[in-house]
Amino acid sequence: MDGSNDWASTILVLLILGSFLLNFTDIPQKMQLWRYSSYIRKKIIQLTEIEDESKRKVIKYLSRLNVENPRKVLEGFIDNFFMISPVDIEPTDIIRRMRHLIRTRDDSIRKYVEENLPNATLVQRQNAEVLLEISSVLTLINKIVKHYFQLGLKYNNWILMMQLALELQQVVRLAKAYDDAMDSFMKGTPIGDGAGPLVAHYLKGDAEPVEISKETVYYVTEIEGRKVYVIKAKGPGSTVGWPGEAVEKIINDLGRSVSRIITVDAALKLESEKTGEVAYGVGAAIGDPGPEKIAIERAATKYGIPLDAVVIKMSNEEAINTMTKQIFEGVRKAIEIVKKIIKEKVPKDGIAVVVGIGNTVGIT
Amino acid sequence: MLDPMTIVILAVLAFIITYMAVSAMKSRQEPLKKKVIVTQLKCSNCGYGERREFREGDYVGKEVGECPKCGGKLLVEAIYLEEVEGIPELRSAVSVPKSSQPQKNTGRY
Repeated sequence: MDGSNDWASTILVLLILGSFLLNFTDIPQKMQLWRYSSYIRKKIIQLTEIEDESKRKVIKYLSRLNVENPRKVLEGFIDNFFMISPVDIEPTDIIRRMRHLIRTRDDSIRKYVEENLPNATLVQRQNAEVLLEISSVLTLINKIVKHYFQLGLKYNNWILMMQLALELQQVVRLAKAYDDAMDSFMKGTPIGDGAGPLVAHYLKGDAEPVEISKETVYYVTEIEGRKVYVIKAKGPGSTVGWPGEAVEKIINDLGRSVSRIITVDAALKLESEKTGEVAYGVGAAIGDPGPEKIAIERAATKYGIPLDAVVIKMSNEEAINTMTKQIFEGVRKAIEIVKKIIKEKVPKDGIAVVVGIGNTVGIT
Repeated sequence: MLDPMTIVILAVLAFIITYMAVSAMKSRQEPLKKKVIVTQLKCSNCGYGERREFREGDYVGKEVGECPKCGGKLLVEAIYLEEVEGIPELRSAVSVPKSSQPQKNTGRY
């Protein structure tokens, strides 16, 4: 037998052996499991670092506010204050029940922060609430990833491992965004989600605020010769207020004399869209779990008032981090669009209600 | 003269090394862009405006002093994150948040 025949038969044997190993054993799956689990382990280390970093930031912030035992305050918050969703197989009054639960949770958190930060200002307390919430979310993300990782290992579920590994890039990115967002809240800079309140801030001019709901104010001003009620959360602390309830109260007071309700909010962009793009349409632009949005829709429907929505587009990361220049430019465009809607769709003697939806941190 | 088996093995090794090198190059992060948080000030009376780096305690709508031109109220008009190259007057700079840095999926697990 010459050299080339020898080579060919070796290749053939290797192919047959390889084919047998790949098709009739669990070796490829085991190898996949091993590769994915080693990747996930690295990402879990990264997530744990992010979680620890967030905890350090909260402790540093609380220490600056002279809290005696900041670690204890943080540990008392994480894992607690969860909310169980209301029963949805019986939808009657679900919104009322959900609103009740959300407000009960908000009040519990507010009370917890007040008790532990008695000497802090309202703005500092509101920012501390958000920092605690973010740290709590990062802990939860890390726990969920570890849960699926350990389940995958326990049952040798390589498909679960593969799914987790493929998702983790996005999960880590989101966790980093939350961690970065903490710096914005510690400094008190406006965030991307504050685009709505910023539009409201510019539209209100020099008008004086009137508190209408908890942490929510309205201003009466004149735009393009029309009377305009501008609603936003009360800044500059970190809060979104109760804009739905505020709209409901104002519409119930003014009734059919309101010609238009315009909501302005940040919206998540698609990957192909540019940050700061502005679009308008119909409906209530508000991303709450339900109670605030339905309050606006019901008030508008009750009196037959047209509902306009203006949105400023941004990514998830940009929405929770310091406002970028592109978003700020989007805010400028949104103001012009709101003014145009008022000019074209509200009669001279009519009234418009403009609602700036979003977190008002860093915006008064 | 190398025998065919050695050539095949060398070719496979060369392919693996090239693939790993290309993947490693792809995963290398792009250099950090310098960004700074800018506070934009505006006089409520004459419209005079100036920009400076953000200081803790700044918020949109805050009164920060008197207008150097007319003595009117100088208010914080806007606060936003901007790239440093465009604003040479702002000396100190901060890095882009980690989440805003470009991340490439290398496809390696």
